[in-house]
Amino acid sequence: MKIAVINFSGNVGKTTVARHLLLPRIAGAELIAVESLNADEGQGQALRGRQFGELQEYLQTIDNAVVDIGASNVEELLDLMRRYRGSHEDFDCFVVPTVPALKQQQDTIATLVDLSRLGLPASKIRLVFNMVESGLQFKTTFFLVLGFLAEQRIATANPDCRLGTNEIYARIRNKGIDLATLTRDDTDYKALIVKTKGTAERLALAQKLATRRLASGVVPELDACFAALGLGTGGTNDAVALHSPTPCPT
Amino acid sequence: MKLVPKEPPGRSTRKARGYAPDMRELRAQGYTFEAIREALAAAGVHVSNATVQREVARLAKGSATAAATSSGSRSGHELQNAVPMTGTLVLPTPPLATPDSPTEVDLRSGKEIAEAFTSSRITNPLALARANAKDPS
Repeated sequence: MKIAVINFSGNVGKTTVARHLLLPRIAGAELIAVESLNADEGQGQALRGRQFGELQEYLQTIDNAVVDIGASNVEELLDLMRRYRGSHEDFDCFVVPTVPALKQQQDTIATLVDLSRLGLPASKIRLVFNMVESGLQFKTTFFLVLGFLAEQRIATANPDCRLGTNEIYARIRNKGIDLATLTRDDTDYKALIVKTKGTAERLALAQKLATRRLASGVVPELDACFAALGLGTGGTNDAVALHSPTPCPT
Repeated sequence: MKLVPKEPPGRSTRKARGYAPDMRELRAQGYTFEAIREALAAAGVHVSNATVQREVARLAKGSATAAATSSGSRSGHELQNAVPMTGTLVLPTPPLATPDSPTEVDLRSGKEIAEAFTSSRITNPLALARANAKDPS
């Protein structure tokens, strides 16, 4: 299964969706970042939009990939995709994250229109509603994107494909740690804290404990969002559920 | 000496409304808002790009409502007749032919379509909340 994560807008959580939602749940998937700004995060391979020819060739050699297309490269990459006619068919699905901010919703609409113009059916363009605040009405929050899709059904919008805001993503950014590894960490931090004397060391351990707790809390949400995306339906089924592991000592 | 104004009488934004059907037609043919603004300027109506976008969106919304309700809302031509000035915008060679899917009939870029859609919607959170309170569906 090959998935592209794309949006004209920055700050919609493309990298979060690629690294933490999709990559761990697609068996054997490689992460490829088409990005000039986030390329320093150290995980996966990095390409520029203009290297689409190389990307296209490389995709023929692998079975599973998540391609994280950074905002600064989207326009160029879509232009090249139009030039290499039919190249969009290399992807099983285009995942488009969006967030409540109006500018980002407007850019999301632009992204959906341009993807649709490549010839992609609505079933291959799927939205992920990101940074959803609990307590706010979903329809009201995403009224712009949902209003557009009510008029032009060019993408799949499932309200269950949603992720809340969570500081865990900021905590683990650039650290090369994945959420699954964090949740599998069975270190008894509370016991270690008791044994440790210095405040700085205690705080460092407490931070690790808090990060693990956040990770354990967010994995079920990611599982539910991934299941709602339905990537295993209608195509190659390489999707795997990333079940929350046995609870660690809290 | 007799004063001769360069522009016809009335506010420039209202004068632009007289060209609304032409503006909409040009948009449907794929012209950019800027190209339409320049055409308006050539016809002696100097307005901003935002005004062009607003007038096009207003007419599109009005037509959609009229089509949906089949009621007697004013058509573009009636609107044109309601203002004192009428005229036809002239632009160079029209763009290329259109493919047949709904979004491809519209030759605007995805960004232009998104921008026009946004400008045709109420985005003020307070006004939006009031509208939702009146019509929760």
